[in-house]
Amino acid sequence: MIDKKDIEHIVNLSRISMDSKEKESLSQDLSDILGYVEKLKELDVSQVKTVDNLVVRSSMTRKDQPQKSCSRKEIIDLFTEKQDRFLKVKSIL
Amino acid sequence: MDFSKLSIKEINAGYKENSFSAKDVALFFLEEAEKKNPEIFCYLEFNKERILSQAQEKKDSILSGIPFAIKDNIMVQGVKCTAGSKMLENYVAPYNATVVEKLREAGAVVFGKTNMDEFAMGSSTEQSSFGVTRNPLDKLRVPGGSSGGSAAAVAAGLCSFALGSDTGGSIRQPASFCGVVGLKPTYGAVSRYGLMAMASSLDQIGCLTRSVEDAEIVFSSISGKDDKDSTSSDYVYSDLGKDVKELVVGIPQEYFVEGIDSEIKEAVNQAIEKVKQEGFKIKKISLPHTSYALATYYIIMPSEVSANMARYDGIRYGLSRSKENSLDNLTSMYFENRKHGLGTEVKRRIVLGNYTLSAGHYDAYYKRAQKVRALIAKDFENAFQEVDLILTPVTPTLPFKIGEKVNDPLSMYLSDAFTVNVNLAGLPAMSMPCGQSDHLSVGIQIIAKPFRENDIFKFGKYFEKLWNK
Repeated sequence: MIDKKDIEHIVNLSRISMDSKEKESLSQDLSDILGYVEKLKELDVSQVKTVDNLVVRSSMTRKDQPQKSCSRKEIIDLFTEKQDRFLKVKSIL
Repeated sequence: MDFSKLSIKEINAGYKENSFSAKDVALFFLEEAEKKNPEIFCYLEFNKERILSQAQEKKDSILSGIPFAIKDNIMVQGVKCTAGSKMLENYVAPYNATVVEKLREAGAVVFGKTNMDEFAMGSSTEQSSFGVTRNPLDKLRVPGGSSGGSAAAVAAGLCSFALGSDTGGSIRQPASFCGVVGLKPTYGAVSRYGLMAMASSLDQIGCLTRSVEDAEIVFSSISGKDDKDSTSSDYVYSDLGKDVKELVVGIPQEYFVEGIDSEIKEAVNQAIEKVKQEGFKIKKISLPHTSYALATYYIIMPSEVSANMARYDGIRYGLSRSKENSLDNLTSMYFENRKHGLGTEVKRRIVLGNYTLSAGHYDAYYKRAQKVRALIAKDFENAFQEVDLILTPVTPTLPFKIGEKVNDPLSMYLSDAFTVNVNLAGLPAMSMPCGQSDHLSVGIQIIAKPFRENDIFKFGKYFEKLWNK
């Protein structure tokens, strides 16, 4: 089992509020899954080199030129709270 | 006329000969969807006005006037895009995904948006926030997932073809469960611009169709380099290459071990027997790290999920709880919005990913998994020195009953055991029907070298009729 302190810490990092019952059931699920992935420890990987982008065969960025994109209005319309053309958020501190 | 029985080529020929119009076809699928969708629930949205207006356009393309369905994590400008989540219940896409842009340019008709497991996390479409999709072959069973709505829409005859996304089997497994063809292209072959990211080193857009020929037509029109997706490759599809009979087929012993249903084993073995009878060269091969793939996947995928899902905070868009409560700082808003906007499986994967990436656990989990991933990719590379194609079962089990696995995440994850390997190695693979078990369909997976979808299509077309006699 993952201990309570660990779960509290990780749930906090995840920015999701959960009651203690949810945390308990999640902790059980995570223990099961982490128990299953333990099997990777059977392998000796000390000699294996990793590459950052194993499957990415091309990684070209486009030229920095303006292109057609969606309008400012469409983006602002999606804001959950706004004032005029500004995104409104609760106080940060 | 039953247009759901016609291939894309046949519909196109009908248009050219003026036997029927795009409007006739659109009206047919509309009537079918109105009749069947309440029970199957593959569509979250289909809009008569849009469909009929797009059906009037005429373009010089084989896809002109062909109605298609789109998984609801791929954006269509001006249409709701929910990803099966409460978080995006009212989100309207501000732009088109590149695949949608390409198909619209070809004149294909956006028919509807299909149901899916929330943010593509699931293997049964039961994790949708909006309801369960039923398998058209057996309505008490799941259609698979996460592209379950797309697979069901094609299987039930409610569109000509559908788009889906595949991170660990989310196109191939539902295609197999519903008895249709499902293609997961090579990583980088199809632009992912406008697809909601789940696990960026694994995600790929592909198609679900009623035939291999249809899959080839759709793939050839959606693939290619896109300036808006830096991981897309400079690649143009061509059906040239080896003659079909020259293709050497590999059978990996590791895919035919315990834990696989006898019905599946039997059907796939019979299919392989037919390949032998046709005179193809078959080799026994070994992919020694196969049994480690699922564990590798369930570390890498949630790790990437935890990063990609951080954007869903209900501030710039999405579900906001600011009116329901009196919380007065930004951080507490994140906690509240995500609590109400995200479902159990999504939360589970975010937390798991944050755990495997966190200080103190990163080396033991994520870094180790990346190394095993390299070993799995190397297995395939070695095997492809000797063979052109690899044949395997798609899933260890037949479609399960609705509700059977929904509370047991680990058992649900095991249904991806034969498909995740392909995503880890970035290879193309197609699932297609190869036999029956009672009223259910059994699928076979054809895996090829990177950017050799042409080999898959050739081989698939050759066996399509032989396997399904």
